[in-house]
Amino acid sequence: MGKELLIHALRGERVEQTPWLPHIGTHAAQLLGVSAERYLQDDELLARGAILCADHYHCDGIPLLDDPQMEAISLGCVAHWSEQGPPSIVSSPLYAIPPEQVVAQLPPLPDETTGRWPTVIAAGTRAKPELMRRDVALVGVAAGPCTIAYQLRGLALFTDLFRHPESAAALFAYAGQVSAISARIYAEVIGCDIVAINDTPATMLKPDYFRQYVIPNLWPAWEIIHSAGKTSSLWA
Amino acid sequence: MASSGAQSIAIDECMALDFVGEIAQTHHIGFIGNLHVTTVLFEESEEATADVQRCLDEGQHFPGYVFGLGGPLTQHITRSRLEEAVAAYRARR
Repeated sequence: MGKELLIHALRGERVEQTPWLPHIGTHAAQLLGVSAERYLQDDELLARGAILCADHYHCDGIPLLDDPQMEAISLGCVAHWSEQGPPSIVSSPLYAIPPEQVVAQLPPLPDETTGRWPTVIAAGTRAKPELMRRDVALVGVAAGPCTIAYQLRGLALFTDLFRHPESAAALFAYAGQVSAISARIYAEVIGCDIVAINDTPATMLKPDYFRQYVIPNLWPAWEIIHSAGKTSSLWA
Repeated sequence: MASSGAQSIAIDECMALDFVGEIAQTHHIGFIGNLHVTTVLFEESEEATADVQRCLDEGQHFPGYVFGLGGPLTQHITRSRLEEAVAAYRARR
């Protein structure tokens, strides 16, 4: 398999063979014969799942964890777990509060001891040497600023953009810091070769809002990833 | 997305891969995509090999192309369909 081939291609270079990197979601749970709920919260299953998918599908890179809700849960959001897919967020500390109170009630920023991070770090520690031996890139997938802001604030995020733009801007800036912390853990603590920021809800924003609220709040993550000598990707 | 500062982008199954390839080439970044996960793997209404061929025909013209899925696998699939897609990709890469 071809880790360097993948990295060169992701940096925009023409390579001799097209590499392959799957957006694997919770498919490893199916291969392992366990529920997604159990797989996503168990470091041994996460590591085994990444290795199993890489071997079975001959991948050049494989995500360690592909759960866009991981950061939000670590910030106090409540999840509804699923048998087959990633969890859904059903409530958040910021759902029902007035926009002018959002900034004052932002949760403390996470670190590598928060939420499921110890599990993810342990999974990365298990998987990395095995994938390195197979010449497969380890990919960290962090939630993006719009994903985190949307999960924390719910649909009110979009009315805040119109009616309380200063509150929305502060929430996006906070969410960008959370994305950057995730990027740091994937790049520096776990040592992922590639760090992707997954920000699918950002595609719901019109281009002006994407430029104003999302792009500036991606930069802290890109700086960390590139300073660590890793390769960056934006998934949306 | 291409001017966001990332070295590469991954796009969903709704985007035309050759259109994205032109943008990626202009910005000197890589791009990943975009097997039709919904129709090939979830609904099973499109043939895996044909859609792999589409991806490679549209993507391989451009530097920085990486074959990938046009969305995450968030439900159980018929594994043989993904295995068929991977076999088709490996025969053509």
